[in-house]
Amino acid sequence: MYAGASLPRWDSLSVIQKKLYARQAEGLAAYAAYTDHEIGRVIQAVEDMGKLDNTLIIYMCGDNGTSSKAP
Amino acid sequence: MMRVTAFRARSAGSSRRRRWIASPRRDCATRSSLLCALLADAGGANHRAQPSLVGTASAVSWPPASRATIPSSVRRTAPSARSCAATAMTPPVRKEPQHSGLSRKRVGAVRPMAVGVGFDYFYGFMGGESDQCTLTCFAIIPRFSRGSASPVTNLITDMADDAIRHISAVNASAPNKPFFCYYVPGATIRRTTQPRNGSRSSKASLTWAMKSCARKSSPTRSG
Repeated sequence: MYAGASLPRWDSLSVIQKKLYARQAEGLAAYAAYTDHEIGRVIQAVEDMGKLDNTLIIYMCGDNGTSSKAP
Repeated sequence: MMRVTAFRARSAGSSRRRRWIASPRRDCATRSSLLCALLADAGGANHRAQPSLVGTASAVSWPPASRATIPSSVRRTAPSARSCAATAMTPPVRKEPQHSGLSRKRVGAVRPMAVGVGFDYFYGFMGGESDQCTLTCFAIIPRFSRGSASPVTNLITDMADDAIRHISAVNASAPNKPFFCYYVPGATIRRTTQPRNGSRSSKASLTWAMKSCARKSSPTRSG
């Protein structure tokens, strides 16, 4: 449940809806994998500088967690 | 639970203020809350008296002077950050004649970031304080606007390149000095203010996607 709205169960969706939402999930997964790769490049650069052991990396995963206006 | 003092220990003996921020959006309450916790407990400007994301970003002093834990700081700063995020998303639009991302400005709920006291370097979108319909990517100065970027420009890749370039330069200039880097790659989300024909456009896009899926799943076209 999000913001008082209940999401329909996956089994209740039509074939077309499942196809659309599955495609959207694919896009999100691709984006996450791509971003993860780029973050890895930055961390690798820190390691290449020899500073990784002296660096604090705080990884926050999520977005607008406490905002009611932008999901 | 990690104490902020741990960060102070990391940067003991240094009064250097080197920071860098890269974010597609800065009007994120969660991130700004943690940023509040990490930076505003530094004993600099009192961000709690001015619930402002830009004020939060500029209320930076390093190393931290407070012994507050990060979770307690987040709890303390989340309400103001959340309310700021809610109000900062729809500011009145005002074009800055000097075209400077770090220039002194006041647009809507966003407080001005005074020159020289904020982040030393910024790359990303000035979410919440620029026109949400025509975003401008800043790298100190405007880097590109919507429509003017190269078709092959990828913000996530460009942001990583910029981060690596900046970190390397900062480290090369003084390897023994600590610095803070706020690197936030991520997707931009839908704008919260719709243009005049925005709802029709969104509806048309969704309708097209649904029809496209219907055509592809139709048994008559499967062969």
